Amino acid sequence: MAKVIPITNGTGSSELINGTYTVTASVNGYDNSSIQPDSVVIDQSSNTYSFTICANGTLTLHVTDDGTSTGNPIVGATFVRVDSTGTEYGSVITTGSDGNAIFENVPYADTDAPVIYYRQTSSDGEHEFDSSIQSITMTTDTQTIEIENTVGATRTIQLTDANYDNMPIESGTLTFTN
Amino acid sequence: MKSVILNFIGINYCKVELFLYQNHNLIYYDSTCLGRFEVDLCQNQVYELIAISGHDIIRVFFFVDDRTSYYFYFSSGISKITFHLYDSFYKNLLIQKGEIILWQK
Repeated sequence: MAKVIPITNGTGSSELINGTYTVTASVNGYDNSSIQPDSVVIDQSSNTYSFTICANGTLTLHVTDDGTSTGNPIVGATFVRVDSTGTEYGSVITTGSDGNAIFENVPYADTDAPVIYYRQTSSDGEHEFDSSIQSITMTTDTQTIEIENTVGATRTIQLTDANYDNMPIESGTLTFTN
Repeated sequence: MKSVILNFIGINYCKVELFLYQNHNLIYYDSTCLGRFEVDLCQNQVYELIAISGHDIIRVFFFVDDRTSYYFYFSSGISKITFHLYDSFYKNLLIQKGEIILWQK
């Protein structure tokens, strides 16, 4: 006898009798054979049980100065997976010399694939970036997104003597830390 | 008369005592630790069943039709269970939508 538990936003509930159950999953975009644990004993000791499942897709974020596949790669840009509210999950990924940063184990499906949210958290210090939450649904197991990080605008910095109006400091350096 | 299996689910205590009445007359009594009884009953007849497991009691009238097996549930053995499903690779990331299917062994 099977008991189907619908899951929405990670949670589902059902009235269930105590016993030992084999667990299977039906989650679009994920590898249903990866459900863990695949067997559970329901008893009086707890009314809450947690399971995990994983996906096998690969999402590549290719960061360049013009947002094209042939643009100059941006090295050291960082990204992290988030949910729709911005809460972060997993490790930060960083672009390498080819401008690629890769999210492994993300869900994909032909239809009705789960939404993948992510956010850029930094660039290389010389380029602008969009830190807002981005989203994508993957229909194939691998996908590449082109991301533009435009070169930062040239700024003019003036350093003057605090006690003598408009007197420029002849030489020196200023360090800006973000 | 035919042989009927009476199954009891959700037993929180080892022993189940079963009383079967027909027309207020006790026609069967037994106890078991297995959660099932095999009894001879008449088809198309109504019986009163009282089953006791610890502090949990089932009292029900049931009709014997063409089935050979019946199931009765002790309420104390049924709980509202909450399940959480997470992505195993991204810690604490909840799965947006899906189903968990539990198959009782």
